[in-house]
Amino acid sequence: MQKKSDQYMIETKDLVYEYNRRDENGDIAEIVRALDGVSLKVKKGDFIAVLGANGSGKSTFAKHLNGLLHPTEGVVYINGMQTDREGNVLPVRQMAGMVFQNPDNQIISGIVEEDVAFGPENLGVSTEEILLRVEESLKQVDMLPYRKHSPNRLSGGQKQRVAIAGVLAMHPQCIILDEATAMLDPAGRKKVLEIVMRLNKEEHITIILITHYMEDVTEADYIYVMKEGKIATSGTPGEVFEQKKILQDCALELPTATRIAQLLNEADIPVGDGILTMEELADRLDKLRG
Amino acid sequence: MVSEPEKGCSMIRDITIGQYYAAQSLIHRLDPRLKIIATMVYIISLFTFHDMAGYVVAILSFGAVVALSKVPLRFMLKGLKPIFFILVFTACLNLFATPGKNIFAIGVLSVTWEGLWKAVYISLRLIFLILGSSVMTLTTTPDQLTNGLEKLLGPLKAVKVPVHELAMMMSIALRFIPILVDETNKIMKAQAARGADFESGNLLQRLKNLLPILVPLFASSVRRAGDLALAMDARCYHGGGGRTKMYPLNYQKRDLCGYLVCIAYIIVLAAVVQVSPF
Amino acid sequence: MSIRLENVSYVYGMGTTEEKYALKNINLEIGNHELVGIAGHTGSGKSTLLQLFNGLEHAAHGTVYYNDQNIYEKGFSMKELRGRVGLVFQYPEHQLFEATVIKDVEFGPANIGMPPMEVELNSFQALKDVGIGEELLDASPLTLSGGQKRRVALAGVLAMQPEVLVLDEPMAGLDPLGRREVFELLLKLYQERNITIIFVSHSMEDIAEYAGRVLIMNQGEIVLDGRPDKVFRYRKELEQIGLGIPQSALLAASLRERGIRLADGCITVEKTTQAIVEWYQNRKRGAV
Repeated sequence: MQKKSDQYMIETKDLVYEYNRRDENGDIAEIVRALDGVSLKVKKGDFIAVLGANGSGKSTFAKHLNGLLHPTEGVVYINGMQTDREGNVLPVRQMAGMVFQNPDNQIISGIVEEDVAFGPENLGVSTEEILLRVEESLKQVDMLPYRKHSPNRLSGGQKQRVAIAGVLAMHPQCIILDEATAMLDPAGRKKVLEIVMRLNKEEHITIILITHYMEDVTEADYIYVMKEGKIATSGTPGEVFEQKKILQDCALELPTATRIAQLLNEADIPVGDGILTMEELADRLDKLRG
Repeated sequence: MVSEPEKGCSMIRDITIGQYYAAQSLIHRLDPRLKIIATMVYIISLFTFHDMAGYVVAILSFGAVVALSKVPLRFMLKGLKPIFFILVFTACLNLFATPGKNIFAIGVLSVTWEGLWKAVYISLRLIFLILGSSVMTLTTTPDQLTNGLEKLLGPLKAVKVPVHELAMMMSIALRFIPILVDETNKIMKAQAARGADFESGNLLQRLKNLLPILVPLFASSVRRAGDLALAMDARCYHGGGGRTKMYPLNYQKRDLCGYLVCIAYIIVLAAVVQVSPF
Repeated sequence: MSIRLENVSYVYGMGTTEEKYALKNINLEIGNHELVGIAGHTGSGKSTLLQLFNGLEHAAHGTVYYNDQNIYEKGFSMKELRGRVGLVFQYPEHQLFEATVIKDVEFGPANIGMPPMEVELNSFQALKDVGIGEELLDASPLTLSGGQKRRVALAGVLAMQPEVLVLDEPMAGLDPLGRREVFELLLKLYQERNITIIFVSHSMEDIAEYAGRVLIMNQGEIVLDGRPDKVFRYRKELEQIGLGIPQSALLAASLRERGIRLADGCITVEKTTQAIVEWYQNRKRGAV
């Protein structure tokens, strides 16, 4: 079982990232600290969620995890490799693949299967092996029937699945989804999450899901909540969702079930803590009947 | 939300790059390099003769290739629509402006035998120029075409021509043209919803009216380019060095035959044009 | 104010072999001071329907009436209609183009022929309404945050003083706080003015929370039309077309299966909580 392995998939220590904001004349107007001392460890095979409002630094954090950005201070290790060490760039990106927000802007090729092949082609994988990987990856995201199609005719959710296949074909051990569900409709979102969950359970791929929808993360092993470049709180979903005040400060919205449960508790109806889904809430209410 | 590819917009897509007609045929399977070279040979050949016999050979060869390609003829003819006016115009020009033996005259305009022949020839030349290249675009995917070009132009790398980068740019452009066409549509509608008018006014006014479309379109292209660059980086893109291909271009026996057919075509054409009595 | 669609159909690719109905025989009337939410699967024809309201798209069959006037009749001013039925597209911030915020907002009202004085006043007021401070009037739209840009774009339509405000997924891409801000803004506009608001949303929660009437679209047809508490009773039908009902309504249904009957209309967090509290208190009273 990889889940019990001691080695961390991701480890960051006092990660700081600063960039210069320039005014209209191109002079430096201010130095923005987008990440401010982020330290965390992610075990192999875990399903981790990073929550935060727009501008909380969660996307900047994501971009550090596969070397698209390098820390101003501190370090990031991916499977023991320091991301800003020369020579580690490609191994890190192969190890920790990334899916972005806008489905249209991350598909490079005009044909689904050619796009999935893009990563392994860059890695210099042999032709026969690429063909195998493309087929396998498309199967994993249920898009094999579309292998010869143009991405332009696919729905947003389907395009994101192709993007996931493109990452899978590089045989990563970790996938980072940087708000990959934000632009999808509910049906597309559900399907993408289903696939991600399956990859985590069956293929033991470490998942870092970055989102501002709390409903998406009820099944995560562990949650980090970010605010102004810092980790505001962390814990299991049950633990985090009880911290109403902090979540409110972070401009996040609880899942409906948790919200109703908390309102009921306040109204002296003792449904208890840690409720994440409607089924759980209904069960608790059922028990209250005695 | 990301809008679905709706039918209205997909029509525009079809015109720009949706030329590829998916089918299983010998012509589809041929190496794109062969198809590019053969198309060039064919087009150049159209300009080397001036008699009927040459056209007979060119037309028959074209017919044979179309039959082999399994692409319905009407798809080929579609490609002629945009040049219809140019066709009529050049035909008329030649018809009326060529001096020679009069057939009949309408006022100052006289139609001559020479003019008639010339009009027919020039039209045929134009028509088959378009049709010949449509065979290539209808049976080859854009990616194959760029692959073929990259490979064909490969030797130029020796003289520091960035062949791989050019091919990558071309394939990205092909992927994004339909998206930007869509986007232009959307922006036009959004500005029209704010009362913008793109149809009236003098030339200067009209150019000015384009700003509300061009500025957002430019901004969006820059945004997309940035996103795409990140996505390519994230998927380990690092230029052409050390790259492999899922479908590397390898000549098969059929491609060799293809080249032979090309040579045969040139010989037959030359022979027919030489002996032709016309 | 009224918008009326009579037997309206819309066809893509008219006259080609690929003809496809995007809207089929739509009959619809939207009256004064309504707050209408529209939901439907992607590709169900929602966006096309919105564009029929202000004449951007032209129906293939049938007629659209604005205030009982046929908008396809000769002499009907489309420009005026565009001013009266303000349409805000998806991600409207992508359409900003002027050098300053105020100039961008003035684009719409100036186009529809408002006198310059009014253009300025209305634009100023619209920006105030959406909560953009005076210090930002001369800023470049490019320097604003995502949420601010969206509000500027909204002001650009509001400044035309529309009688109907039509919005295609006004919350798309915003975080929870941004969503709430946009909705509170719309609600304020609705309550303070005599306008009709029509919005498209994928979130059944948002529709349950804010709309007074909901239209459900599927494959180019309006399949359900009515008050949200009535429409969301059709759980099976809604799930069949890939939509579903609000989370709170799911809880009520799930409780019903367990033999706990709540009062009707449990479609929002507030109402459902209230109903559960009532149920609990009644039980306690009964037990005593």
